Amino acid sequence: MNQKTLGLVTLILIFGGIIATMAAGVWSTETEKIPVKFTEGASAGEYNPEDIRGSYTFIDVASLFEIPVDVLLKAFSLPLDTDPSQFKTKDLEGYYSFEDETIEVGNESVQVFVALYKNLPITLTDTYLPKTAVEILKALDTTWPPATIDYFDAYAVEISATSAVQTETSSSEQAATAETHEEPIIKGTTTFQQLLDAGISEEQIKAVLGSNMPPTNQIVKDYCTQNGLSFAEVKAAIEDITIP
Amino acid sequence: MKVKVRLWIQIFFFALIGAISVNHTLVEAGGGLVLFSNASLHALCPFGGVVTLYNLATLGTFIQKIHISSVILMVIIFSLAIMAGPVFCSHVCPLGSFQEWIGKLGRKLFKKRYNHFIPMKVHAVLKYFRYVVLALVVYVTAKSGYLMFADIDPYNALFSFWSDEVSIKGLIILGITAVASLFVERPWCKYACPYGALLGLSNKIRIFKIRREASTCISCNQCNVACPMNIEVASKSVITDVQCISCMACTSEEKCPIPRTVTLTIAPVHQNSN
Repeated sequence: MNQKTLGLVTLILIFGGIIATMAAGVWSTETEKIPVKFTEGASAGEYNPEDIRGSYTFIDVASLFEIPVDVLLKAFSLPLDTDPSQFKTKDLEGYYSFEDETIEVGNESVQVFVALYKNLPITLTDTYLPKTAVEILKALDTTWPPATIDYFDAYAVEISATSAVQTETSSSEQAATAETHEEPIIKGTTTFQQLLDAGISEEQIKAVLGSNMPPTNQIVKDYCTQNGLSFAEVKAAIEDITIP
Repeated sequence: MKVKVRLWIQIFFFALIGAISVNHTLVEAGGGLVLFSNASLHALCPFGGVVTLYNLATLGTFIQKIHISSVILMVIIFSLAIMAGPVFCSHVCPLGSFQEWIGKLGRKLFKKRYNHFIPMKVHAVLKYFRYVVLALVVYVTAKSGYLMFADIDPYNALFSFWSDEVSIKGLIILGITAVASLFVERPWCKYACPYGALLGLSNKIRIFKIRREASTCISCNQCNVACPMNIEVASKSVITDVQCISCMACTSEEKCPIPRTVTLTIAPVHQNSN
């Protein structure tokens, strides 16, 4: 085999393989954007909003959960010219800034809004919602239980013009904010090994889960989904361990 | 003028991965080209397919940042390796090309001393260090479920140095690799690359092998001089060294002055002639 043949074979194998798997619908360079479904209860068969990942765009959320995209944009006080096919739910986390640094509006806020908007099960913990989102929810033809009303009162935050950091602060100020903003200890992609690496003991993890220690390479959120646990509750309990 | 097919393929893949990486950064920032791939570097790394195998087998999921594309590329590259050895290393891997191109400057600076600074006895031991790296990376990644070594990966640093995804540690390793490339050809490939270590094993079983025809060889040792991986081609009839990257530098098409003496073939040349 000469050099030209070897080069040709290399290109054909690589691009032929890619094109063939593309044609077969197997090739993908990103996580499939399909949330898990509820397997029991009145919502069985419906997508679980708790599995909305930060990489989902507003268009993804709108089409998966059949919510008008305008409603989503309005709920999260985004300009109407925002491109919903590009704006990801995790982008909200860098979009607003609050004086109280413990307040964050992000992917989990979208999860909660979608669940309440579609009347799907969700565990309400300490996730903040913009007041605009709460107003939309209150305007729905739904009788909210007192606990949900209390949640609205406690966790609705005002999104003002100055909250949108990218238009009101300089890039250097943003960089400074990013430096002081601590990375959350647990996210939707965190594995149990990463919790151990962060200093949380196996005993503490077992106590939170109420079971034996899962495989360390497993993603916490996947474990919760497979075992009927609320990721929001587990996340809050893990954060309580590290943030007294 | 001789057309260097391998060089053009190297330039093509380097430019392609570079363009995709830049587009990935631009798309993350809300811009970029919509019709051009904006895949992450990890999604296009066949070694990602290797380190996610344990997760796939035990949990049915990929590790963080790895997708089916990595597994598909892993299968393609393994197929290529079984056929003709670690062609990925010599033709495709942009980090390998990066080192090789810096090495051209080193060759000009140090002439014959280039790539011979490390005594062969030391090299003979050091070349197995990449298997330690391979075992460590595969074990730790399988146990942790995430790319624990991404921060120190020079390939990652090479194509993300402009973004906030790069770490200082990765840049330091990349810098060391670049400087070392001035003295040693492909130092990362030779002594540290876990994927190169794995692909190198294919040299034991590959279908098309580099073969030296002893009956026509004039023992000029030009093949030894040409080999970037310091393999003593002139003393072997068939190259099964795990360090061979199928770059063809030693063959009669490149350095060997005698036609059909060092070739990439299934069977020895004299058998082919019969």
